[in-house]
Amino acid sequence: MITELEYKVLKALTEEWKSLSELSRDLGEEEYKVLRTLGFLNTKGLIDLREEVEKNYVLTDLGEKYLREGLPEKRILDILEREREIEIKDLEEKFDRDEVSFSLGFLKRSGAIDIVGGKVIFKKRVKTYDDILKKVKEKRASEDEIKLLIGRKGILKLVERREYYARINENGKKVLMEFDPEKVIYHYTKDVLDSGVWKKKKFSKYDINMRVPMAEIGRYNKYLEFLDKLREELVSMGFEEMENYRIVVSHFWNLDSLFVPQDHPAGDISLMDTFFLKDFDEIIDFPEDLYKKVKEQHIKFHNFWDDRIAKVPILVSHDTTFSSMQLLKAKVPGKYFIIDKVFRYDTIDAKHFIEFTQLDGIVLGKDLSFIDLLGVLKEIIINVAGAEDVKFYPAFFPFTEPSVEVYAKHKKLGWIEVAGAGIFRKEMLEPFGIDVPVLAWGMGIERLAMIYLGIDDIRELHTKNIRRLQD
Amino acid sequence: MAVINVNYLEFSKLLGKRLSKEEIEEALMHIKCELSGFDGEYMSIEVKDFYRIDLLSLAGLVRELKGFFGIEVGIPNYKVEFSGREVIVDREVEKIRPFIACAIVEDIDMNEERLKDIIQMQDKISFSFGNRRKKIAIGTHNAELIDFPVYYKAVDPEEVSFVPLFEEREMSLREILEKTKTGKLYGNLLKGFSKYPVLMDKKGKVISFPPIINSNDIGRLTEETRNIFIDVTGSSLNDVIFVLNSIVTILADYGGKIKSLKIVYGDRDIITPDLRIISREFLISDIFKWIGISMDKDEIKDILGRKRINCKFNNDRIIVEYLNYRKDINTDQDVAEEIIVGYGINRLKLRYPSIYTKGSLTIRRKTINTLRKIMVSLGSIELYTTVLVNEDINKLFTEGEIIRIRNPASENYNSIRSSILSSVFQVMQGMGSIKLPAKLFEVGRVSYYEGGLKEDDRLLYLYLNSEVSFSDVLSVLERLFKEIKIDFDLKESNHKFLIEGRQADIYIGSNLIGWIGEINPEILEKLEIKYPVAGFEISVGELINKMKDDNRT
Repeated sequence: MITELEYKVLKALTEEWKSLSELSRDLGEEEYKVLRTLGFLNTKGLIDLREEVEKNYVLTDLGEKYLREGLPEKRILDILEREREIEIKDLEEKFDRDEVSFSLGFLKRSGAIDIVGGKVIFKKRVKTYDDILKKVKEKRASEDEIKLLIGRKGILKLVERREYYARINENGKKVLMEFDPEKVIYHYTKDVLDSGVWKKKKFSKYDINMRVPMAEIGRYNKYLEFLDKLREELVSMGFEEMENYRIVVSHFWNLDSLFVPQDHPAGDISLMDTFFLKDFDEIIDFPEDLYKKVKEQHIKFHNFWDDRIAKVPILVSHDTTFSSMQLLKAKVPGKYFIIDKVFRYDTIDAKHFIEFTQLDGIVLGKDLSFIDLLGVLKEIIINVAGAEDVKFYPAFFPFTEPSVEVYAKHKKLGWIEVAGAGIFRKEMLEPFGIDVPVLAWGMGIERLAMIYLGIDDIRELHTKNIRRLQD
Repeated sequence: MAVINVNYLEFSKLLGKRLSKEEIEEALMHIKCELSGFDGEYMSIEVKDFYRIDLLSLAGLVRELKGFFGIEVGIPNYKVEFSGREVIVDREVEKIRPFIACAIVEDIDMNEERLKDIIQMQDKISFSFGNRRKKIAIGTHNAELIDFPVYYKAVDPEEVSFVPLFEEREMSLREILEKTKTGKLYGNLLKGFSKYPVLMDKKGKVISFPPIINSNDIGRLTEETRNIFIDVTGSSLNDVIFVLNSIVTILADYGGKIKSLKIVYGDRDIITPDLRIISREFLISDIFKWIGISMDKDEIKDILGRKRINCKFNNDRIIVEYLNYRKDINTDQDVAEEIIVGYGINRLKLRYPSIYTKGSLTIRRKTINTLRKIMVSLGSIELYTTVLVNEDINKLFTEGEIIRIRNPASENYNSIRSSILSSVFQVMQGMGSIKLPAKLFEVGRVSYYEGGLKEDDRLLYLYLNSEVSFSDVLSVLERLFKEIKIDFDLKESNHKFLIEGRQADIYIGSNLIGWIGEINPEILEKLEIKYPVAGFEISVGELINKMKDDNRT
């Protein structure tokens, strides 16, 4: 059985060798398709196929120019025939210097001219090679003729061309004779079904190796998919997602409500790396009675409070802000989490970006203690971060006591710092009226995501190149 | 968090122990510090605890580590003798920089490394805990050059002049603020005051100009200095005394003898430093509740001893005692922390709390996920672009005010996007090739101004092809709303970023929830986007409101 295209090609072949270029011209098909079909026909033993490398001399751009205008020696001779004599320097104004010296040499050798004291004197007309240029162009030049021009710089060049020749053989003729298009169905249409024609005819065979453009696909963003996976893990561990997310929050929520002294200087959670708004210097996004209580607490313990600082709007710089907001409506016992974007001023490079994602959580319960905190952290980090083991070091955060830094053992990277955690300070919880322990933590997601996605430039977590997503 | 440099040899000498790099790393982690660099000669050490200013010095670290290794345990022993000398405080400083605490430490066994350490400690404390000298400023001076009593008073900036540290000529206080490096750096702390604080001795020689600079002679310490006069000035009496206490213990660790002074305020006299033992009483059971396990009394005593804290027991109570170079032990929670850290966190047996709670996602998240799922099923590709975008691009798609960033990290990110379109077009700007057709979407947060700062989540869908039309994107919108079972209406609109007559506003009932249309070629030209684009953007918040109204959430 042969395909439709194979049939067409076979039919176009004769017992005489026919070149691929000629064949594809006859068929009106692209050469690569015809060549592939010839390959298949050859494999099936229906045709003879041979390949030839043809070497041909063709004119260069300069050669083409000489063909149009005449070789310089011919043109010089034309001038001399008219003028009888001419100064070499005059010729050099009209022609290229090299052309002049070559042409005069040629003309003198063939006895057409004499050169006397910088002057060229005409003797007789001689034959130049212009006719050979024409023959090369028309692919009629003999080897000897070509030799005459090869010596001249830049007129001819050698090109190699691969050409294929095919002819039908006896097997091919037999198959062709037996092949009856009337007995074959090419297009599988509704009509084929309705008419029942498929019962009488055979379907033509496809070339299953044909290449077609890939179908489009809808696709989730890989990084967001990773975040979805983390959220799923936390929900399965009984955590409820917090619903307070905002880009712009007050300094009050971001830091003051967390018992961070307002005159606390540079540090991890400092104002040094916080973004401020250009046109707004106040936001009221907190309940007034809580504000009053937090303010009292600051004055009592830190001896410092400035209402203007508290009300400054900033881009949320850590997700613990939302843990703090959640305390207003948290149930006891309760487990809450948030995975969302925070903003910090930084110099942008492969390792640092200004927008990143944190995973924060709190657990509230009457009998919770430090060892529960460690247990929760271990469970989350092993489940969520795919770590093999965790270890803890004492740390300091203004809003937790005790505080720990959590390190996870990663298969490839060894021990890496993944989270900060602790038990919220009594002094911090007091204004919220919460008197049970609250375990809290915050972890950066970027590093884990980069490992998971096999990315080593943090900027690539955000879409940079849409074309790449389409592949 | 502050980072200090510590000389390894001096550190080993004082500790009486030569530790390997790994041993130092491990030991530091247990006292809330971290070795962040070591070149064989100097270690750079990160001190994490904001309130442990005593650790901002080589001697302080060694004191803490001696406890950790059990070389010296319990409250360190410092003797304080009254010097009989006075510092007299002028009432007028009350409004400028009201509090001062002073001490003299004599016979210090000084050397090059210790001098460096003392100066470094001073800098680090006044920068971190001192909030860049606003809360605390420290001066250390050669005590032998001072005639007591010393006066702390407010003076006219033009009237008093002296040679400031490392300068060659006398300058008035005003000149110091205008011309010296520290004057320019900290001058703002004295902004608005007509008089400036100075410390002068009996003969009227200026000792220092807090919080700016010391004098060049009295206020310069050298390797030959044996007796040091320390002044700590600031806004809170408790804090100036606390900082002075820390500093004198460090100087005493370098062999010095601590002498106290009488500070004469108008209404009362106080003696500083104040190296008292503070004692606090707690229920032992309260402490165990924080930790999660109980321990026997001897073990607690041993652990706290290594933290340089003493303790006694009285039935169910524990009395904790510490020297007041520390101010971070106030509650049972704080004591539990000391015990946990001393015991070793990684020795504790973990427990997963047996609290039953039901896990869930928010309605916002569930709705966003539903929309994303529909968009992916419709064959579109999800994008994740930045919330911060270039202001000019943002403006192209915003009819109201733009929320701009005062201190942007880059021009590309100097405003908050008010539409997803702006951040997606920022990514597509000048974009080379793309496969056609391209169906793209993103769900994300935006912020805009509408009588106040507002935020919303939006869904953007874009269709790029060699030919696009309103109906290409409308068919997607129709399908989307059909899937979420909400009806919508279109009304003619007039947005500049869309082609006139080929755009509409999308409504649910009477609520405007988004736009749909073909993007104006003017915008595509500006952003060098070479394919026609059509799309829509809708408010997720409004969809949720509608679902809530229909009791479907």
